[in-house]
Amino acid sequence: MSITEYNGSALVAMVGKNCFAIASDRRLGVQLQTIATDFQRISKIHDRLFIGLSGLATDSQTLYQRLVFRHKLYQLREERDMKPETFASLVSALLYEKRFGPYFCQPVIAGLSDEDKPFICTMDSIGAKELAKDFVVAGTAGESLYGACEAMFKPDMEPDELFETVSQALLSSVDRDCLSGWGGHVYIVTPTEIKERILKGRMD
Amino acid sequence: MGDSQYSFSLTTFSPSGKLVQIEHALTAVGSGQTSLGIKASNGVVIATEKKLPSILVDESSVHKIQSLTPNIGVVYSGMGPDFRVLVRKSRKQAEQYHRLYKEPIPVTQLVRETAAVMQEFTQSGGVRPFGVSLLVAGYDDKGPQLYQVDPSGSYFSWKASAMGKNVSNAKTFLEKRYVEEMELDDAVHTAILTLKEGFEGQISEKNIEIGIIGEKKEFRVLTPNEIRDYLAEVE
Amino acid sequence: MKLDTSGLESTSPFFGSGDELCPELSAAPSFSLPLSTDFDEFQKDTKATLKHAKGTTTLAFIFKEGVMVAADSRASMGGYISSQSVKKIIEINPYMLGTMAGGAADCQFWHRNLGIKCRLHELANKRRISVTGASKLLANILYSYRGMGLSVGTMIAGWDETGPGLYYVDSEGGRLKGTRFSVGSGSPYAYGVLDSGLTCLLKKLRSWLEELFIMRHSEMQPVVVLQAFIMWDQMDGRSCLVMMLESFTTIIIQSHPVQWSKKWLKSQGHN
Repeated sequence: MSITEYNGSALVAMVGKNCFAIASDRRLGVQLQTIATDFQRISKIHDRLFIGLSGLATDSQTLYQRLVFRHKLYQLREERDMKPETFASLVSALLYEKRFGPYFCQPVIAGLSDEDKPFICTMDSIGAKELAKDFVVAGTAGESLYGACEAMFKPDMEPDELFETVSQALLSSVDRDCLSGWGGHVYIVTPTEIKERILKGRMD
Repeated sequence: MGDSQYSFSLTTFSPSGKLVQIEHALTAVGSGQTSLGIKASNGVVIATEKKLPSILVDESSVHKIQSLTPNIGVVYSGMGPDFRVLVRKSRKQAEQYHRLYKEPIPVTQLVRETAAVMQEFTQSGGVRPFGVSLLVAGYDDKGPQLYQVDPSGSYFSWKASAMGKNVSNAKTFLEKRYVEEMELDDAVHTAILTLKEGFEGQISEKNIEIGIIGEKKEFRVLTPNEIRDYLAEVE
Repeated sequence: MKLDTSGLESTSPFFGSGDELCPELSAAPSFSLPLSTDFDEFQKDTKATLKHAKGTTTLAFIFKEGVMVAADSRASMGGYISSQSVKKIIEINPYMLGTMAGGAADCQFWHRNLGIKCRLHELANKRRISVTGASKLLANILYSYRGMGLSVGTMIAGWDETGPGLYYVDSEGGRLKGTRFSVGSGSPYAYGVLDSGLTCLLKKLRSWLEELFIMRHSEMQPVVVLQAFIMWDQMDGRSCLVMMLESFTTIIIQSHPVQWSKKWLKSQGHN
């Protein structure tokens, strides 16, 4: 089993009309053994920028700490928040720093620009960016998520419909994956508010 | 004796609390050729005298105004070689920022980085401070900006500033002429007039340099032909 | 090499062992073996190409009211879940169950084979085979194939004249009698629960069963099959043991009517 599948994860981000959704599963496992069922894979960088780190949990946490550190430093130095595109470049640069001994993480970044335009992107463990206009997925349930999102995505969804779509895509995908699941964690981000919801799914 | 005891090691304060090497550096700047900058409502202009030691020097090969990034330019008063070192370091800094964030470096960031280099040279061993003051002109998301950086590493944002020979005269002139809602073209005129104030000899497109940046956020050095046109307008 | 597959023979003799009367006629058809000089090496290769059902939890235990058999219902290929409704409990016959762990095909085939053999025994001897006997039949067959790559880990649980019976049988030829077993990758977790919490579990189970008995006391049901649970092992199917207890009535219960042994009924104070 690959080291990126050691803990198991499912991550998805989707674009709506002037909003975005980012969602993950809640399982933390050691191979097939479930250790925790309330694990956080998505983190807030600032009010309109989120990052989810799939893959090896220890690397996810370390990378997250480094990213928060770098972002705080940026905030102090430049007296502003990072734009999503800028943050994505920073993540990419930090990942490539470890080109020959990578963090075993596949990040998913989602944010709103200053003009309320949603931005989503993912990258591999050494920082090759993949920008998308509709949705991005990552984790051990990645293939299932691709299928579900491909079938369920519609352009310009309003926040409520987006929430429904992302949640259904996530839940149906993790039900086909042994290594992720135990409910979900969904963030819907609009220019005015952040909605955070815990999903209940199959608990096995 | 006095300060001379403390003038060898620049990391040693004199009893009066001065770092005399920095003061000497400022003296070098003060005796350098006049440079000035004006921040307009829709852009920034920087200008400088370009007096050459001999008429035999090809004036078209001398570039006292340099661009650091597409949207940031810089001019100096003081020692030309020191300026080039700073330009090289600043350009590198700007590229590193761009590589990291895929975003042009904000003017404030580049000025701070450059100032940090200059400060470092007031505290390190075996080096001397830079014998230049810089005027940095840029235009970014925060609008047009003009900064002056001194050998000590201190920097300030200015609406209009001058340095080098005739500073005080030039500054007084600028204080009189400066208006808040000035447009870039007017600023260029004012810059030329200010230079003309303390100019020894006949001002021409060959012995001054002008750099401008407007709302398109592209810094460029005016060609001699453009300068000639502006000079004609000022007449 | 001749392999014992006499259970497959549709024209098996009606009385006693056919071998004594007409050996040629009753000669069992055997599986053809690959024509290979190095059988072990060949077997190693074929084994790698076969997909075995991994990630299983099956368990069985004997308790006061009978024998309980439970298994998860998930089938997975690597991390991928191919089904959430697999039947890992095989009904050998109405009074005997087998569990499935290891190779799905091997388990299914040999349990069916065992079912046939048990029925033949019943017809030949006019009495049902004991769980002891049935498990030994299976163990002997599996032993004859030892080293040839069969993968079977099963529990034979059932009811006979002596009461409830439970045996563990595997493809290495092992056969154990016991009161509680668990087989599969999730078995350590199941043993954890069985060994520590069985008393508590049984108390709840008993009260539930008593309720069930009162409800259906006209047709007593000693063997209960649960398609259930076991917490933590992700290759498994549904739910956890705790959940099962709390939501017992919502879980599918299959039950099979059977004649209670008079001896056992008496021992339990029934008339």
